[in-house]
Order: sequence, then C-alpha cells, then structure tokens
Amino acid sequence: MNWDYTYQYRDNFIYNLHPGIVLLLCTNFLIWCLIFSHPVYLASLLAANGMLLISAGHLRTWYLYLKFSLFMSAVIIVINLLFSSAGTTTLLELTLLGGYTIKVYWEALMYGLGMSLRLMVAISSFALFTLAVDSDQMLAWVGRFGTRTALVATSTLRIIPVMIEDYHRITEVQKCRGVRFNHRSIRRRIKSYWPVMGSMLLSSLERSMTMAESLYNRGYGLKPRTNMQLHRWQSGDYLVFFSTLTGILVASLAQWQHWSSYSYYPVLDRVDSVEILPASILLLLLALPAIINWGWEKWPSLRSII
Amino acid sequence: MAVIKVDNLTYQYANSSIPALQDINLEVQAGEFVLLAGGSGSGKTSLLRAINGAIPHFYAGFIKGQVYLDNQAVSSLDQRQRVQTAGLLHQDADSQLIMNSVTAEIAFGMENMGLPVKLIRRRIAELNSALNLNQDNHKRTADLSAGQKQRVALAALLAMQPQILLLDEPTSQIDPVAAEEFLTIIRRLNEDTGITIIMAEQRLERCLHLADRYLVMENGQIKGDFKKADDMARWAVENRCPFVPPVPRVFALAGQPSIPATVKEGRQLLRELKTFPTNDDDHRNGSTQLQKHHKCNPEEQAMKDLFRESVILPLPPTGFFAIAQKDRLESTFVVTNGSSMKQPTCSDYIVEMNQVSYTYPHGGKALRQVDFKLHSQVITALIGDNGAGKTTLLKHIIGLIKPDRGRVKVLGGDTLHLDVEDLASGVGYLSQQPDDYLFLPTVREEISFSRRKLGRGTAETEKQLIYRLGLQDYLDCNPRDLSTGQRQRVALASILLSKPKILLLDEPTRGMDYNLKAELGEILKEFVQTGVTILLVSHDSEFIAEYADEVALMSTGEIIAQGSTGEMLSGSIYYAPQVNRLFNGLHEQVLTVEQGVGLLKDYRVRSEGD
Repeated sequence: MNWDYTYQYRDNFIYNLHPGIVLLLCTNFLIWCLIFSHPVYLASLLAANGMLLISAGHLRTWYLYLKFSLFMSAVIIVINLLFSSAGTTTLLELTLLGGYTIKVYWEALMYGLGMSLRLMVAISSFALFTLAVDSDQMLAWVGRFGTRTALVATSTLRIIPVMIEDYHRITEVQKCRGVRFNHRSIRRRIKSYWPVMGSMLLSSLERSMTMAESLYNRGYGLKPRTNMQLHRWQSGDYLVFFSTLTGILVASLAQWQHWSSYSYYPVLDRVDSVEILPASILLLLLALPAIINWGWEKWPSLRSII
Repeated sequence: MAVIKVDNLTYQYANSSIPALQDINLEVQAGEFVLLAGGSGSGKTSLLRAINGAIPHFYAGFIKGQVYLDNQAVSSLDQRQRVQTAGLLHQDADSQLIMNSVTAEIAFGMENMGLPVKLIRRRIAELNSALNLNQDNHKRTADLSAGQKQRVALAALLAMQPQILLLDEPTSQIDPVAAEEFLTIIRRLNEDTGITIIMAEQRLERCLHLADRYLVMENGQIKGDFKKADDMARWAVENRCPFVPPVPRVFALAGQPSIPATVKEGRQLLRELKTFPTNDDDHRNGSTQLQKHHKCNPEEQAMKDLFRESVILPLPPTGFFAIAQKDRLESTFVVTNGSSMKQPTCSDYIVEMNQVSYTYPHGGKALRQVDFKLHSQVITALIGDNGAGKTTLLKHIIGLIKPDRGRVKVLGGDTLHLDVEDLASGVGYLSQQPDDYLFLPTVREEISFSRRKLGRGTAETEKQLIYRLGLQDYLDCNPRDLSTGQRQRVALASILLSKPKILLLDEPTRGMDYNLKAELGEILKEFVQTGVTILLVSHDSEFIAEYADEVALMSTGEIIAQGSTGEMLSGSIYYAPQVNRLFNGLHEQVLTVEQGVGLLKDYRVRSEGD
C-alpha cells in the first residue's frame, strides 16, 4: 500500500506544530503565490515550502507532486508560447500550413515559467497541508465552530485510504478475472472500470451502514460535546506563529513597495538588488520551522526548550 | 441479579419476511461470560442489537416483547444511558472506526458523552496500557493490522465504561495469533472487572473454555442454554448441531461419557484411559488403527450426514466435472490415513518458482530466494505468520507481481512474459473478500458476466456450475444479500467459468462457520478430482488438516518447509490442529476428527473386550 500521499505521523518539529500553525503557513504560501508576480519572490516561497517538506521527511513525495505539476507547467508554457503576442523579443517564427505565422516570444516563455513557478508553490502548499496536518486534530480544532460538518469531513477523510485500498484490491481481483484495463480505446477503458466502480460503490454503501450504527452506538449526537484538544500551544508554535506574522508583514511591505511585482510584457523588468533582500528575509522567516527542525535533530536537548 | 432480561422477544427486520428473533426469553446475571453459538443467519447479531438497543432505536421493523437492562426497558433508555449500559463491538473493525488516529478514535465516544478532557486523557492512557496500545497510539487507524484495529475498537467502547460488553464475532476477521491476544484481553476484563460479556462466535475452539455459560441459537431461537461446555457438546452432537469444536466433537462422537472443552482436559481424560492404544501398540499389532475404516455408529453417521447434507449435490459428476475429467492427467494416488495422497513426479509440477525474490517499492523484502513447486491435482496449503509473504507468493503465480529476481513458471509459461489477463484463463484467484467480485444486481448476471463480457466459458458450463455450487435458487437474488458462504460460491462460479487448471484461494474460510467450511472443503475436493490444482493460503489448521494434501510453511519471505499435511502439521508447536494436539505423544499423525473418533472407538472396543 502506498501511503505517501497521506498524513503519517513522524517525530519531527513540523509534525509537532499546532495544526492551526501549519494551516497558517500553508494559507500564507497559497495567498502570497497568487499575489506575487516576481519570479524571485515566487522562488523564495517555493524554496521555503520545499525546505519544510524536506525537513518533514517528504523529499520523495514532494518530487512526485512536482513531477505532476511539471506536466501542467508544460501545458501552461506551450499555451503561452503559442498564443501570447504581447512580447517584443522574438525567439523564433513558425510558418504553418496556409501561410499563417506564429511568433514565439522570449517574454512569453518567461511568463510561462513564472506561472509554472506559481503553480508549483500552490501545489507544494497543498502537499504540506495534506502530509503534515493530522485531520483529526485539525477538525477537532475547527470542529468547535461546527461539530457536525467537522465529523462528516473527518469520516470522509478517514474513508479515503480505505477506499484507495478497496480500489487497488478490486482492480487486482478483476484483472485476475480477466478484465483488461489497458485498452487503447478510452471508451472501452472506461467501460472496463465499471466492475471496479460498482464493487467499490456497493462496499461503501454497506460500510456506511455499519459506520452509522457505530456512530449511534458511540453516542454521536449527544450534547454537550467536549473536544479533546490534544495539541496545546507550545513555545515552538509561538515562535513559528510570530515568524510567520513577520513574514506576512515583510511580504505586505514588499507588495506595497511594488518590490514583489514584476512585469513580463512588453519587455522583462529588470531585477533590482533591493527586491532580493526582502525575498531572502521572507525565505528565512517562512523556512524557520525547517531550521528549528534541523536544530532538533542536531541538538536533541532543544526539544525540551522549543 | 439479572443485568439483562429478554422477555418474550420477537423481531422482524423491515425488509424481511421472516423473523430474525422468535420468542426469546433470557436472563443474564451480572458478571457472566456468555458464549452465543450459532451459524450464519441464526439470529446472534440481531439478539446483540436488541440487547444493545440498536433494535429498535436504529433498525426499523416489527418488534414484540421487551429487553430490560438493569430492570429498565431498553426502549425507554435515552441514548446516553444506553451507550453507558451496553457497548456493541462488530466483527468488521474497519467499518466501525470513525477517526483517523488511534487516540482520537478512543476519545470519540467520551467526547460525545461530554466527559471532561482530563478524564478523557486519563482513560486513554489507562486503556493504552491495559490493551497494549502504547506502541500504536500515534498511528493512523488505517495503518493498523486487523487485530490492532479490533483492539482499538474495543478500547473505544471500554472508554465509555459500559456495564455490558456485547461482542459480535470479534475474532472472525483476524488471524489466530491476534485472536488469541484479543480473547485473552476479553477474559482478563471479565475476571478483573466483573464486566458482563456476551460474545457471539461461530468457531468455538478458541473460546469454549472462556465462558461461564453457553447459548446455542438457530433460526432466531435459543435452542440450548448450558452451564458447562461438555453438556453443550453432548447436546449439540445429539441434536445434530455442528457448532462443536474438534476436541469435544471427537469425544462426543466416540460415545465417551466425559466431554472435554479444551485440549488440556482432553489429554487428561486420555491419560485416564489406561489401555489407550499408542504407536507402540500399533507397531506390535502390525496394523495402523488410523488406516482402518471403522464403522460409524448412528450418532457419528448423523454428524457426517449433517455435513454432507449442506453440500448440495444436484448433479452427479457428469457435466462440468465430466468435461474437466477428460483433461485430467494420469497420476498415481497412494492411500494414507484414509485420504488420497498423491506421490508427485517431476512432470506433475504445475507451478515452479526458482530463486524468486521480491521487494515491495516501499517495504521490506517480501520474498527471499523462494524455491517452490506446486504439485498437480492436489490441495496445497500455504501457512505462516502475517507478513510471511504468502499473499505475495500467490500474486506471483497469478502474475499480478513480477519477480525482481528468479523465475515463476505457471502451466509451462514464464509469468514475466505473460499478462495477468492472459493467465486468468488458466489460473483462478479468489481473494479474501468475495464481495470484491460482486457488483451486478443478480447472481445470474454476476456469473454470466465472465462469459458475456470476457468471453470465458460456455452457457452449458455456466449452467452446470450454478447447479453444482447450489446457486440455482438464488439466481434472481442480489448477490450482496446472500450469506458469506453463498457470496463466496457466486465469486467461485464466476472464476471457475473459464475452467482454470489452478485455483488460488486466499483465506477462504475466514468468517465461516463449521457448516460452510465443510461445504467448501467438499467442493474443493471434488474440483481436485476433476484435475484442478488448488493452492490455498490459510491460518485455519482444522480446515487444512481435513482437506489439504500438502502444506508449505512460509516465514519472513522464505519457504521454510514443505511436505504432506501429516508430516507438516503433526506435532507442530503452533499449526497442529486440535485433534493432533489431543493425541500428541500418544499417536502420531492423527489430524482429523474422523481419525480421532476411530482411535477412541477402537479403545472402547478393546476396553470392552478386556
């Protein structure tokens, strides 16, 4: 079973952070990558996010996420190269059948790369959230604002790995029965998945009945309900919280001063050194949990302090 | 004082035409450990639901009579009182776990009851220690083994501190080691805390000695209520009820006056039989008692008939079997211990694995230089711990997994160059969960799917299989509405339609009662006679002893030993069936109930002669 894409507890600083802090970090990455257009700032966000993932022990999974985003990035770049005509520096000129000419601009290529960087940051922040946040803790925390919704979301999240397991098992079983899933025709391929989907659906329905009975037997619906907040705020949480807040201030300042804005068209903007310094500070602030985690591993006594 | 009182209870599910419970009257005293025996559909689960209050609070239907918990009618209890009075543990742990992590799962019920957080934490810590969950409390529930999941589900129930614990076949989905651990915990709970326990079980060999009282259910009624295991065993034999574990069954069928519940008690009784025939006696007499075909007394014959009755034989071995027999290879059989045991020759190997190694991409080594040969037209059982590599080995034979090193030759072809779909016509694979095969609305459509959509088999073969597997009365039923054994037979029919030469079965007896196991065993034996080779993975020593010809033992990805069932199971520390443990040291290679009965009856004849 490949559990790489889901939460699994590891004993490191990032996994011991309050789920709210990790949510704050992930939201921070996501919002700023949508606001920033400067490739240096986007790169610093990607680097900080990557450092957190690597530090949390997910280099391989991050690589798999990036591999997935590379495909989408290629699509973005090709579309920009083919359809963007706002650039001024011509890279090459293609003459198609019928005499129609397409000009490929350097600026369009850079814009495509910039957008790919943005996509990678967004996907990496999603990866960090999925891999490093325990949905039980997260929803226990969020659940204070809506228990029923939180429970539905928790049970849905819990059932995902069970369904992934079902999918793998049923696909194998149907293959052994002689069902072919590798047809060239998409129509036939979809059709061959009908036994898998049918079995999964029926098993899920049966399982939902037992689960509902179990919920009932466990007193679900009684009021008042308590929430065991397993995670109390610790000094490490405060430290990361303040560093992230400082990062938000730095990012806001950079945006207000237009240091993090970048124009690709009609010609690429110059990159000033004054723009690079806040990006570097932002990188350090957002990557602080990774740095502390390194300290945790280097000096185990640090665990008692932070 | 009766903590549970069931007063003239009759219940019928809303979507059913027959009552699940009929005129149940029962009183259970505080602190009693009650074992509820009975086959599939006998009403065990419904009775537990009625005591727990899920009937009628959760399940709609017709109800008459009343259940009282601590002199209060269950129907009048609110949800909070109910969950604090009786907790119900289901057989499938996966479906009853709600949260992602072990700690959150245990806390869930207490959170619902609004207990203070300090108390929740304290109880979690205590339960972690009591149920040995400290190693797992950071894990996700999805990552746990079936046994660990069941322990977590039990902890989640106990956290709410119910006065009564209701267990619905809690060990049916877990391996024997985990089952032993689980039952030990249950016994300890009962002894240390005095909690009242009602446990429904189909396979009693593991738990007969645990209970203080035994109830036998059939067709929604309580047919027997006993204080002693031997009384139940004798009654069950007299009433042709198959829910008796092997040891008491041997004594009851042999007509012994004392019926032991455990192997230990059985051996004590055997020691008291001073003239019991030992191996030395047999050698002196120049005969093997085991090879004798003893004549059955009426009781024994009744028991045998009961097992045979359930195996529907509407067609003689013509049709499908006759067709298959045409392809049958010539082979030599030698009769040993009353069962057919094949002497293999080199050409008989239908599967050959040479120096096969395999490592899962994210795991350790699953197979280590495995050399394994599967003899043609025998039932071979693959035994070993969880994680020993048994399922991985099966997947190599069906071609789902290709070896990292070494060769797997199946029916003369190298699996490295064959697709699973190609191998499917010669190799049938039945996984642990027959439900994985079932997705169509009727049994008829389900079985004919392989023929219509995959082009396997003929309409004639299909018809013969339906009759042979006793499915003719269920053709228009939804396969998901059938019993476990019937579902398995539907899945088996869909596989056998292509007339595979090799049949691979992964834990085929999991969750089955004695009757269903006997039916399956008989069916498998008949398939073998038609030329099919069977390889099954199982933890069920009793089933293996009765039906397998050969056994291979796996451990940490290696085949440790392979040989005849007698050689492999006889005297085995862990895998020996109960009957073998009973006669261990007194007589070698006694594996089956029939053999045990024969020995004891011979003793009686000798005693009477003396």
